[in-house]
Amino acid sequence: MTSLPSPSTKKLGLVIDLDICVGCHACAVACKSWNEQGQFGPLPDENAYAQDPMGVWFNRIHTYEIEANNPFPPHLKKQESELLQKLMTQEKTQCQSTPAAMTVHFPRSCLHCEKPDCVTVCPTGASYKRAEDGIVLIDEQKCIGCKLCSWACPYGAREYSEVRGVMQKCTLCVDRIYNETLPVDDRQPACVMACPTRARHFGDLGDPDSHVSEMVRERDGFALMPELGYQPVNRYLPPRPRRSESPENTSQDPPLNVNTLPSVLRWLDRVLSR
Amino acid sequence: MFPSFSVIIFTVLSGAGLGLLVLGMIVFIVLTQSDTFFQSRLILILGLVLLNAGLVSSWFHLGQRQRAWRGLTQWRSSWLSREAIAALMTNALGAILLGALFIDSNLATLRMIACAVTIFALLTLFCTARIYDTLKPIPAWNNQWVLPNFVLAALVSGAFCLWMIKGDMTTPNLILCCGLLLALFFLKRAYWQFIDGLNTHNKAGHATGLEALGRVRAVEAPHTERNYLLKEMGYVLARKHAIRLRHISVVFFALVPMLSLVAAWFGADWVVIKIVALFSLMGGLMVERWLFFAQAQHLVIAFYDTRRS
Repeated sequence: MTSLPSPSTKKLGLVIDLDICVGCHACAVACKSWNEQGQFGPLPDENAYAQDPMGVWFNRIHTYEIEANNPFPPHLKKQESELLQKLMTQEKTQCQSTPAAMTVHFPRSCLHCEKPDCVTVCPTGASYKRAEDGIVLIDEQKCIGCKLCSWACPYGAREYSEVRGVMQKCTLCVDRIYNETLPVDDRQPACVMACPTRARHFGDLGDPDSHVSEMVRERDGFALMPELGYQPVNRYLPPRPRRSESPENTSQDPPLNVNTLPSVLRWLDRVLSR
Repeated sequence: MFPSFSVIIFTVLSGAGLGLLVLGMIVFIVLTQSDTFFQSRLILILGLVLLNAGLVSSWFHLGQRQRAWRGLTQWRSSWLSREAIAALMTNALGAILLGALFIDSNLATLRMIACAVTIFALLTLFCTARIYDTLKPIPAWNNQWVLPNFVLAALVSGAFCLWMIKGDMTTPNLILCCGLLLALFFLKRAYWQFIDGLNTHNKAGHATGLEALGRVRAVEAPHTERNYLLKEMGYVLARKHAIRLRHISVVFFALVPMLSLVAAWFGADWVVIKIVALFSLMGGLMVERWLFFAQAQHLVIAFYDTRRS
């Protein structure tokens, strides 16, 4: 049924910590192998052993490089570096922080949106959102593989399987989280359990007291492309500010030129700045 | 967006069939005399054949064709489902009218059924266009230009099919055809100008929400091989090719048909000219429809954006 259910308070979803993710792809592999034999049927690949393999993966990890807003090249001469430091301090008082350059690994999978267009555009009723917990699923017995749902999803959550002729997507491991044959601690999505750095968390984002909601509040978790109106449930926790942006360094005191200090004080400055 | 051949054939052929049904039925309702029944039957047959040729082509696009009937069930939320129902109704009513024409029924009844066929044909065109313009992740489609362009293209192709069947065209009808063709040309041009001016947020920083931290660019894709997303949405046509193809499509869907109308004005309305005009129009529309897909960027490609932005 592709009309959306009336919203319930339970909104199961994932919280992904972009500060901790190291891009190991364990979650992607765990997802692929669990769903290969899960309730929703196999995830076969075309040409798996040939030159041009292609297949459906529900979870894909991108890697991005973020350039610093105000790069501070280390090779500048002393006067130039002092001048730049002065300018930077002035600018720092205007904008809150000057983030450093960094690499961010970004797992992308279905965000189980509250108002998913992928559900309403489906002509057969194969795409549906569960009323009891908000998980968005595909009934592969009904799907005709018209691909319109993948056109409607800006996050690339849905992929078409050439081999099976239907669309497939992240199921939030609905066949694990309610599975009584698994020990209680294992009733979590495969990707959450596989993550070696505990960058992925599963819980009820509709419950303000759940540990995932607390995390989102604490770290200012954000949704992807909220202006489209899909109201994604999953949240991403942004990278924490780097050491060079700590409050001590963004003070309004005049910049300290450490080269004029005696060596003992230079050492002290170094130690205290750690 | 990857220009799927079966979908292009579907929208152009079915569009022509529906346009022919709309205009043909209006002519039938307004001008019917019993000696035009033959032409009306031809209009209906050609219209329904074109419509169904397109529908069969789009049915081939499906991964699980045997379940296609399920596509009629979700009309409460899905424009694709609504379009399927409207197309089915157009077919059913068209078949009824065809039958009624063969048994020479009461003219008032025939006019009523023809009215219903017109309404459902227009509804089908409307629903098809709405499938595209309600897709938020595709800014080139999610705007107010798509619907009028789509309907007008169908009406223009229907008009030329009608001209072929009717044989001759009175001066006011010629002027109407010219008007429709010019309107299509200007509307298409306005649409192309609109999409050229779109500031698409296809930037990695915006898609990932990391733009607040600085300039973001993708350095590693999630996969070394192809995947469905890049295959379906990663198709991006170079600007210079797009411009050249636009010119080609305008020559075929606007210039050649316009010249044929001008020739007809001067009395040279031979069958050859009409056939050339019709095929040129359909060919030009197919090129234009191909461009409609090839020039549309999907927001998901922003996740793969390697430009520093």
